[in-house]
Amino acid sequence: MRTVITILAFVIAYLPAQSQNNAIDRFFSAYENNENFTVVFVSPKMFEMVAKATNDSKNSDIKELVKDIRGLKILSTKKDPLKYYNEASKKIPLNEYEVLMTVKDKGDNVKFLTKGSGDIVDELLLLVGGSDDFVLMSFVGKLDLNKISKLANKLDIQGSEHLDKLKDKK
Amino acid sequence: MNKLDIDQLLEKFWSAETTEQEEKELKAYFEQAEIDESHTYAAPFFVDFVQDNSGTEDITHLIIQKLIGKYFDATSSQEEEQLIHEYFAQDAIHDDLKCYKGLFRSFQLMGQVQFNKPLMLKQSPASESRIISLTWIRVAAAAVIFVVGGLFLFKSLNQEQSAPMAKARYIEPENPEEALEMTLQALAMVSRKYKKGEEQLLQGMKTMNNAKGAGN
Repeated sequence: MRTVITILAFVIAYLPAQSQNNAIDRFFSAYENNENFTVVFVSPKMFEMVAKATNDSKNSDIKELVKDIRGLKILSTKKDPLKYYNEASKKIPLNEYEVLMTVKDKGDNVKFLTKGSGDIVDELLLLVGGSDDFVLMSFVGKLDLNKISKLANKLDIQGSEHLDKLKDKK
Repeated sequence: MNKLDIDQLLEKFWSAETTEQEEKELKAYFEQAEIDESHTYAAPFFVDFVQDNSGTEDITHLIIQKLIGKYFDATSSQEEEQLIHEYFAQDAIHDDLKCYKGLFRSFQLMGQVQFNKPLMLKQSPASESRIISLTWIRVAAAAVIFVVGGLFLFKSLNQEQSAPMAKARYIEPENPEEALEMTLQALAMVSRKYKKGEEQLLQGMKTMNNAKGAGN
């Protein structure tokens, strides 16, 4: 009888610990089996290789920023973007994440969320939900918000090019 | 019995010709109170004889004592034990053996003990039900372990499957260049949205300023 109780106690103690390891991971895995979604995953291992490859890059800003990223996950869909945006907004645990910025522009909702305190955050979460797209983007690492905001302008031109490529890929 | 008869018997006795019956008669004579004076000389002899006779009884008690010795050495046979019990079952027990009386009587009593309380019968089904409930607990424990184990297995299998068998379009870079490209694309999106946010903020501030200006 005592053994049974012990086993049960362990199981009960273990279950929530496992399932609650990361709310965002859970959100990702929930939609990984949905065929309407596109998942992009860049592993920490890959980022190590990227850091090595960009070591001799001329663009030091990018190098600096990419060096700090440990992981990237993107979840996107074109179906019911607003619905998923609302769902994601609800599911993000606000006791863990801090809203950095909320933008509403022509039916496009954008939310920036961060995890951790200060200018250097552990995770940057971008949530986009408009009439066309739903995107959930998660950067993990030691991210300097100042660097990102500085780079935002520089990357804009390059970024639009890349974005076109991404659209072609899809 | 008259005096002459006794004389005759005594003479016979002295010459060791008496039969057992005659000896008994003599004994009976001397045990009674009216003994002829001429015979009193022989009285202690016969009284002794009576005591001797009790001495023959003593032999049984000696036998019993020996048997008891065997009994305590655990070498006595069943017949011998039966003799001991029979001896102690009767009342004429020798003084030397009286200390064993309680013991052997209680042994015999114990042999006769029969437990016929109905309580025992009631208890046994109770203990059976206890066994059943214990079994059920074990079954339940096994079930719990199986279910939990199955759950974990299922979960881990699902997790293993989710990566390669995901129905969602799953894009993973194959080389650092691709990874960098993806990251840059992602960052570009971040920057675009970020800029938009900043613009809105600036616009908002401008309109506020305008409003302020208009107010002034």
